[in-house]
Amino acid sequence: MSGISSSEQGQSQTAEPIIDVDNVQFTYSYENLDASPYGPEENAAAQPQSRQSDADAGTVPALQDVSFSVPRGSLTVLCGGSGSGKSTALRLLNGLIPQFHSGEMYGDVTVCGLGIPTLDLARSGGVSATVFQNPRSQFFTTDVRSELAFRNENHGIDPAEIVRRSSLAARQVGIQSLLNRSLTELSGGELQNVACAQAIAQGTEVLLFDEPTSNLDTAAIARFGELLSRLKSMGRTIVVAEHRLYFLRDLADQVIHLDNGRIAHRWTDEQFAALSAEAIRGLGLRTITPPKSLPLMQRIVEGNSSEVADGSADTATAASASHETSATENADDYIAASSSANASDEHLAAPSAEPSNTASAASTAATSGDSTVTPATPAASEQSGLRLEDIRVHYGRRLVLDIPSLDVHAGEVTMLVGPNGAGKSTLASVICGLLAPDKGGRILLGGKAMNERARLAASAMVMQDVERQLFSATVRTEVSLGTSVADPMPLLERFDLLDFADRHPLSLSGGQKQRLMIAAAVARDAAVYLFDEPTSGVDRRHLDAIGQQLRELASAGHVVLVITHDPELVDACADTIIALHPLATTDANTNKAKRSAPQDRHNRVESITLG
Amino acid sequence: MTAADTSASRVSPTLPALGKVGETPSMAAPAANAASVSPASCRHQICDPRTTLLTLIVINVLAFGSVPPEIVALSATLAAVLLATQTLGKSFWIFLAVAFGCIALYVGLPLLVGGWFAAIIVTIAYWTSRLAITFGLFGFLFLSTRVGALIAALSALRLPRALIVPLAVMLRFIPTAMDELKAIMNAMRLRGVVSGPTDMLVHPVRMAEYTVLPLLASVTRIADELSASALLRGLGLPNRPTSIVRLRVRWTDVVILAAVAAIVALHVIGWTVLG
Repeated sequence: MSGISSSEQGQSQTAEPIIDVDNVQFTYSYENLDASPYGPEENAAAQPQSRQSDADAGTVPALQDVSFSVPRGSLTVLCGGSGSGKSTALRLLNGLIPQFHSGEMYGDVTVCGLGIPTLDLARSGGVSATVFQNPRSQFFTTDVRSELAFRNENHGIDPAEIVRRSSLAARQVGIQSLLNRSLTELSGGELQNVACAQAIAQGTEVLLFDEPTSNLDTAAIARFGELLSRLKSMGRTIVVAEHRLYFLRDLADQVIHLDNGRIAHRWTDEQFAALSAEAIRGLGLRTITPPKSLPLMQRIVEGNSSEVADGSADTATAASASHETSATENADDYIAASSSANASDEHLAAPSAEPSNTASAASTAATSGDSTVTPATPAASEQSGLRLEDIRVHYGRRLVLDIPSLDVHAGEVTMLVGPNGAGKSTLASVICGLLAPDKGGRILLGGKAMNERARLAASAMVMQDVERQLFSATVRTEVSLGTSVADPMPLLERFDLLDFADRHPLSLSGGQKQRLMIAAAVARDAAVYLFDEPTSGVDRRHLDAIGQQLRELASAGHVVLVITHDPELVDACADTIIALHPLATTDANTNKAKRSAPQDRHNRVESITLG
Repeated sequence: MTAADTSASRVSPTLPALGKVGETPSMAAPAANAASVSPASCRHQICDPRTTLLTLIVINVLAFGSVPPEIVALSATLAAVLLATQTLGKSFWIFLAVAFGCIALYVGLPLLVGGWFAAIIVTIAYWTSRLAITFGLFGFLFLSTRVGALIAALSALRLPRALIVPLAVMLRFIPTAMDELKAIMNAMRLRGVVSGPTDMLVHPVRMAEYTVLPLLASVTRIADELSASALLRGLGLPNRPTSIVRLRVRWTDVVILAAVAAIVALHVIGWTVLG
């Protein structure tokens, strides 16, 4: 236990680097299939051929000539494309390399004065705490309180002290209200907070984060940024491996750009902030300035209109957002009525030329009725689109979804946005026919009412975990599985998968798997395409590619509905945003509690057409 | 955080007080509230995990031995009562129907008809009723026992870590595997590979082919990530862990153990109703 140094003790030591990575080269001893579940991993995404042959030879180092040091109390960002070695570099710091992921390693890694490569994993865990990417697979216990205590219990720390640390960490992260909850009932954002809290409760000086925001909505990302800044001010040393960079721009003291396992660039905070958008794009990195649709997304997930209307109404989208917001801000009955009206026959046209004096203008407009609502939908697209009427879903006796009316138009990319736990996935399950709504609800496609079986046949869904959706022995048969496609080759060519036609789907990289799933979805020739978080944890290149594919599907006249938290994807290809608000119009953190009470309220649903 | 830490003090009394030490009373209040009312979905730990495990072992040994139907019925009743404390949903009613249905079948059918077909049915029902009890009790274990409590209970029994860790992992992992299976089934329906639950009976081989690989792939991945996370957080440390879970014998433990003892005793004295 001598290795544990709590942050209080750490303060008194000298200012020499707390983490020192010295000239490390590392080669995985196996093909790194488990690299990261969401990240389309490995160079294969970029250069399939070379990767494949190199991997066969087993000679591609995942890291080469990597040296860096992290000063005490600073925040270091590791960035780079998928397969660039970010996660691998992070694993050097917590000892998972080479203790857990075996391979050939040269060089040395020191954290808090301990030589990590030769240290027992539990001891490495004594000096650093890690937050992993996937909340589903990093929790060992089943409820929040036990999870916060788990590490300290294993280290044999006095229970009174464990409770003190746990409650302190819970307070710092703001999850006291979750302490008695079961982990299975928490949303992705809440789980990520729990993961952060358990890391903080460990009391280690160094905190490591592996793509912590890939499952977070925009509001949760903003809160996560605040948490990082608080931790920094408390003297913790932080290393973050991330694709999303905009929220880290003002926090990072050092940014290390990895490319193909080598350090391509090192930037100080000023140098990083000064990089131009073109330079960032050229390096294949995600944007470092807040995405254009961020204020709108944030406004939607927070469900709190008045805060957003002032600061962010400087773009066309934000202007339309504040209009819409004010219009739905009144009494519940009115909200239901107005939103269903908006959603059903009318689209909000974004007042793109309008100046941004919106806060007051919008509220007067709202009180005067629907003067901000302009009917702009041609009847044709209405006909071929998807229409939901009186959709209610109960889990047990709890009402989880209640949508009086909603239209999703064909030929457009429609993004379904809402806070974690608002019912987005439930809505998607209803639309694709996996879930039957309560009696009385109707779903029409192209004017025809569809039952569950018909919807299952007419829709294709690409889930977040593509691995669960791949069933065949080869890529070739995977595409035609369950369809009448005789020759899958043209489709494989279109999705750049021709070279892999005879490989097993599960042997592909993450990005290739996702392309394969989209190809298989296209092969179904469905009328409705649903995507669940297609860009969580993917790099810039891949995000652009997915955006392109969504566009193509939409322009072929399909209904394309995408559940997303990612403002960069919205920037890339959204035509319409459907904002789904939780049932009770309260703060997202407390919506579960409120929702358990039976109440006759509707989900607020807004359709926002982007200019 | 040295040797002194290992004294297992009773910490629960401090828990309600936590809400009061927050910087802002308004933020602390929900925590205090949450501590006083346990949410419906939280696991209802009605007894000590050691009681659960003992019940599980004794009743299983009993039920799979050669015992009269009365003892099987009593065991099933005990399992049903325990399960009912956790859930009154579909799974409870399925358990009730299968367990008692099978008992009734293998007791009643020979009285009504004879022949080889009835004999097959009776044999199947005979073993299914026993399996149902096992499943019911395991269901109770999974529903009622938190991993932390199990580790604490087994550590208190001074069992070796080599036994505790696999048990804890199993308790944590089986529900996850079930979730994965459900998600994969849904994915199959979406892909049009199967059209509904009935397909599982019609095309069992095809179902297995399509299910096993994705399930193995995702379960292996989760297992890998889970063990990395657990090892980093000291699951493999040789010292005896402490626990924030307070273990004490409650009246429920006494009742459950008394019921188990009574069933064993009735079996020993050869109690029967049907003669």
